[in-house]
Amino acid sequence: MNKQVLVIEDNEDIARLIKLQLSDLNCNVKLVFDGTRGAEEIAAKTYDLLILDVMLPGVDGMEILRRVRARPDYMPVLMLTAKSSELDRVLGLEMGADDYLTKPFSVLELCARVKAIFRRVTAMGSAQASDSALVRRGELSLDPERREVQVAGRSVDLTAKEFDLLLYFARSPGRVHTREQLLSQVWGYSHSGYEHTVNSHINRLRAKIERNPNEPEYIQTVWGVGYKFAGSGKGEAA
Amino acid sequence: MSRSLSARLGLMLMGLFALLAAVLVATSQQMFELQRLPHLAAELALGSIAFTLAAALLVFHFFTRRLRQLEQALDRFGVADLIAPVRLAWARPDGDEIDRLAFNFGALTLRIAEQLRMLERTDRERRELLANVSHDLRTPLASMQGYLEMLLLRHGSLPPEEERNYLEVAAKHTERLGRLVNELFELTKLEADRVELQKEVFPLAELAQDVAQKLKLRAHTRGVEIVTHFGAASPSVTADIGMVERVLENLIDNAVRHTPEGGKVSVDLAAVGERVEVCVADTGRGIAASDLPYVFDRYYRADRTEGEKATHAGLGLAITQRIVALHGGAIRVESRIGEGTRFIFDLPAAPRWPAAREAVSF
Ligand SMILES: Nc1ncnc2c1ncn2[C@@H]1O[C@H](COP(=O)(O)OP(=O)(O)OP(=O)(O)O)[C@@H](O)[C@H]1O
Ligand SMILES: [Mg+2]
Repeated sequence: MNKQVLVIEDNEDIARLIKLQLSDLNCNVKLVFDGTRGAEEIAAKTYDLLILDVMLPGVDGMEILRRVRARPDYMPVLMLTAKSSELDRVLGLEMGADDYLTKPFSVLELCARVKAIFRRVTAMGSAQASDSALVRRGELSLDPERREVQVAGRSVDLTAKEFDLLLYFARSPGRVHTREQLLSQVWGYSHSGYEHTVNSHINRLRAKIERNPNEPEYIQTVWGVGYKFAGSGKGEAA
Repeated sequence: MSRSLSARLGLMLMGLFALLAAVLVATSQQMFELQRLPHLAAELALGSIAFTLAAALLVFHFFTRRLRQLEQALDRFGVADLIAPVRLAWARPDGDEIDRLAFNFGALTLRIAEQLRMLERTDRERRELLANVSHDLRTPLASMQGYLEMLLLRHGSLPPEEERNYLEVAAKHTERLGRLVNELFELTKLEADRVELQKEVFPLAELAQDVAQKLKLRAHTRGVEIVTHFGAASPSVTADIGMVERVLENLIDNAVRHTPEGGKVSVDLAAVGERVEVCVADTGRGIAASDLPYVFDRYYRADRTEGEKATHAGLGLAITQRIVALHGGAIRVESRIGEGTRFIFDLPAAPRWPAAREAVSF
């Protein structure tokens, strides 16, 4: 079945370019050139993917994103931005955009990102059905279904990405991951210029779950290679 | 003694009155002859009027002479486009009010002249930067435009491989243009102090390891080895992870690019008091002593080979220096032609771990 994609982008040339490209990926693409019409469109219909420019005439991109996230169903969003300031990027991600591209972007990159989003959505659907079993490692226990984490019986507040990262680690104890692998597996894309977000997340995770973050028991560094999850020996069973 | 105008005025009047008294004493003999008495009143009146006028003129001249000089000096300052500061020989910070006024005017004009010179310099720099920027933007744009126009003109009549060739050239230049625009944007933002550091505590060695790993493949294809010696006891810093990554990436990338096959690039960390020092060293071609003072300048490229010019703008080290400075640190370079180069910078060390954390029991 063809995917339904909505593109809200005020630069018509870029919008058409996206449409051309996505049509090759078997997508039905609808183009809207201003924020007001875009907002109406997402209020009326559900799409498989929304490609959204940040700066738009009428209702701006951030506001549209907020409205999309306020909906009960999940609609993946790929943000386009001309401003490459870090703040915009992070804001875009914290607010729940699935991915972002800064202009100018290459069409190849666009296709790769769109495919990655579709893959992730499919995987999410199947994962929810199958792999919701509790994961226990040492004093750590993760509940994938309720997205809850406990350390020695105390619950710990994690952001969505921190949880995903920890779950990914905990499901493959002892395996060494490079930073690039973590970025592509957990974040779903490999964007040069954004890798340090992995360091940031590992850092914050350790602060939340480790007894002494200077000598981590769970998320350990394998010097010269990357990171691995050490199950702390006791209670290895899942 | 005579530190103020009123004191000077007093002194001067006292002198004048003493003079008057002396004249009176000297002439009193004839003056008080009886037959002259009727004239005396008139003479005294006339005399005192004349004396007052003369005294007033004298005093006035004495005080306004300096004011006049000051005024003329200020006029000259204005005419000379505010560049030659006012200097009056008698202007002193410890004189009377007029001396001090002149002294302060002198200091003020000196500052105006200095600031004007500085403004002119930054203005010149801006203009140069703009000229550089527009040149650098124009070059890739010109190629893009040229090749695309050619494709449109000869569309359908070009052999396919030729067409592909043109398209590849155009695509290469778009990439370069994009890279340049990003770097310029980054630098402008950093220089305008419009960035807020997102500081956090993190183990620097881990980030350095990850960056080294990212560049390892590129280094490997050039036959260069990246060596890191880190261990678990590596120091933590308080810094912006994304920005520090930018710094490490540029330094390691530079080192790899300027090191011949078989060479080595090493990254080392050391805790030095409240700071952590990072050293990126290579066994590469080195930088000439005459180039060394300028490598941190925007657009400065010591390596002027064609390939380098086509892909690198020379903005990396300017960005690097700015980021280090934003973290309250400094960066320096040591190099010897043909032997290698070392860049050393420092970041604020983080406390081992906040004590409050240790109180939490699991
Ligand atoms: N390790 C090094 N060995 C030899 N020369 C170097 C080294 N690092 C920098 N240089 C010289 O200093 C110049 C400035 O470096 P900088 O990083 O600012 O610019 P770039 O690498 O040429 O361009 P960009 O970083 O913008 O892509 C380089 O062009 C190079 O000539
Ligand atoms: Mg560089």
